[in-house]
Amino acid sequence: MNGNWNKILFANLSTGEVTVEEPGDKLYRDFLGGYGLGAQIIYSRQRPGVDPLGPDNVLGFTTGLLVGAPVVGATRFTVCGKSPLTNTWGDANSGGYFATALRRAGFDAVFFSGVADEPVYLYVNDGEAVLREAGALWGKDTFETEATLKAQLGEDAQVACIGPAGENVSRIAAIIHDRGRAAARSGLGAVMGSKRLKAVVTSGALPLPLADEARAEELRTAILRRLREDESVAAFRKYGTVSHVASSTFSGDCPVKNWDGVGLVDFPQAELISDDNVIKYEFKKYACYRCPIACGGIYKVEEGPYAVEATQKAEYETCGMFGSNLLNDDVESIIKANEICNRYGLDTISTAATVALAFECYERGLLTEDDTAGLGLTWGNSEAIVHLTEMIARREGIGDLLAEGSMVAAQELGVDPDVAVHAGGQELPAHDPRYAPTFAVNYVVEPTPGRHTQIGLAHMELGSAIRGMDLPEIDKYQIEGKGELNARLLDFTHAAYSMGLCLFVYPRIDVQMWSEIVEAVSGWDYSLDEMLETGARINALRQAFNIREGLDVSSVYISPRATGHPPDDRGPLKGISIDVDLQRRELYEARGWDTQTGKPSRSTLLNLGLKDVADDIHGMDG
Amino acid sequence: LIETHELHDSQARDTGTELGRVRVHLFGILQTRAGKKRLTVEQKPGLTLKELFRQLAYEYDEGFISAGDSYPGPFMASAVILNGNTLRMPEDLHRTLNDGDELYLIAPIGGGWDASCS
Repeated sequence: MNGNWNKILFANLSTGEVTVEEPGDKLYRDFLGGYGLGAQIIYSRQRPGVDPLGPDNVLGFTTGLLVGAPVVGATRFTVCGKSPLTNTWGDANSGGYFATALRRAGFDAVFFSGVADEPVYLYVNDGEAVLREAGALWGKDTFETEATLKAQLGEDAQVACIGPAGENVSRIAAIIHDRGRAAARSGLGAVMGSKRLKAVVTSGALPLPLADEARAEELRTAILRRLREDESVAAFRKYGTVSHVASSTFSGDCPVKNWDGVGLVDFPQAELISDDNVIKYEFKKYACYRCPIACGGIYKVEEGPYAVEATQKAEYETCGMFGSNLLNDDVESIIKANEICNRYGLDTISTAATVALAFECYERGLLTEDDTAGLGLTWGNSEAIVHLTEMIARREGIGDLLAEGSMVAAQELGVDPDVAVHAGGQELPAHDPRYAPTFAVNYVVEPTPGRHTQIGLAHMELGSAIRGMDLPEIDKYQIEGKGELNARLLDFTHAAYSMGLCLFVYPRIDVQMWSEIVEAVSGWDYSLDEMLETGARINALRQAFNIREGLDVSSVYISPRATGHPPDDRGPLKGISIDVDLQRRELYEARGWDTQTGKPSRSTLLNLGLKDVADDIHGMDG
Repeated sequence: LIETHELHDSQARDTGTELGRVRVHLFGILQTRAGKKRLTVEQKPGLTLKELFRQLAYEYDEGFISAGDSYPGPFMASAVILNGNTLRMPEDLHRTLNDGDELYLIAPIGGGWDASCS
């Protein structure tokens, strides 16, 4: 089979057995890999209602059709399973070198079930896979873990691991690769911890079989030429995502003061934590595998209370959430908080959001210095931000509660629910729906809630698009009539991610080229329409996963602060409130899902080739 | 136009007139094209936003002509904020600017949109 190994690993951690299955061409063609393939395997093998932190939750590490092939931007691996943070379908992805290494080891994906008696890691190398004892690694942070494993297995070994936060099953724990590339969202680091799975390590030199390697290389060359001519690429290479921390703070895109402030009024010094003031700490560029854009960087703070030796860049989300949203203008403290999250294995978005919740609780008198080990949680107090982040990472004091995430913490602290700014239990990222309204519906309707990378039409509302796609002009505050366009853009996003592509690369490449690339890699005649259908299939299956869990998918909570209920009476977002119900109904309708319940109709599922799923969830209709 | 890098615009040029000034904050590709983070523009009586964009286009880069386009436009600002309030584009292009106005031109996020996208 070209473009895939047709080999998927299954590791039962309870028995220690590792097996290989060859699922055949249809699974790959129907889902393209990534979380599409993950959703199909987990849906078909896992019963509903399992404890996300129990032995029956199946956890997948997936790659994608284009990973390991000469394709620009195909570097992502996606971890998927039932999320302990949202109790829904969960997935999280990361760039770096891990995905390519897993494909070069001769496998397309690996799935874990059960719970190990003692800590283990999985070592995958050149067509072989074995579970190994990891007791000596348990308790080590992710940097130490990676260094230890590389020392034993070679520098080419690529490591995805958890730190102490995952070990202590924090619901906001991340999976870390390469000292700070993070599959951070959905709390899947806690699932690894619950399984006593410390790491997945992979290396290999097996060449992926390709249908037409020369053509794939030719297309890669054409794309490289195109990217060299793209003015925005040069800027993105220099700054990466931190280019817009200040502008997003001023525009209202980035939240300020736990989503209750106005950047131009409350945090006019945002430039101190943006663009040039961030990248001056970068001592080395970082590129994911063969990526010509190289938007990443390795960061160092030479001295002082926030000294950092070397860690991955604090990206826009991290600067926005640890900076603007906490009124923190000390960029070195942000780099330090980022390093703590990377070392301990925490999602920077969820962690910083939960810190913001604690700060507002302190302001309201619901937390005092007796609760915070003497820390004064006053807005902008960088020392308190860094120390509280460490307490969360170690589950020390109030950090033990905050490690459960903001929704649980808010309930326990008895604060108004809107103070915990989340959707369906997952802390919202630094993109305010009042600035780009489609984020509101995507935060609640996409089967993994609260995710800005499920971007769809919000991409256009931020001022960008997918190159070569036939798209109309839009008025971002004209809410009505956008369901179909949003669904189409989301469907392409799901297909692109499932092929292993990066959000910062694929929109810059003419969308019409992907059919040629897929054909060169796999030999399939795969039109853009088929890609969109595949994206719709992936999303319907993830939605069915949530419905089968018995979840009320049509009423996923989103904090009213993020949707303008009530609207702000000042600032750039003044007077804006988003009609999420209208957005939801239109998106459901465009997808062929019930406009009230969000359940994909039987005919929609049949048209997508998901007969078993249709029988499953419509069988429940009685 | 009076060009300044930072906040020293009051010393940048003695115009010897009573003209007011509008400060323009630039981000992303607009900043790159202008080569500056901030500009101070002479506010002649009746100066509109559209005229200001024309001036910027003349002085710096023709891309500024479309800075106030409605969605989507090449090199448009994804938000135009005047004195802390978001303007509606293109309806507000004929809005008159006043002495002391602060204008923020927010660049697109994620690479922007060029002619090949449409």
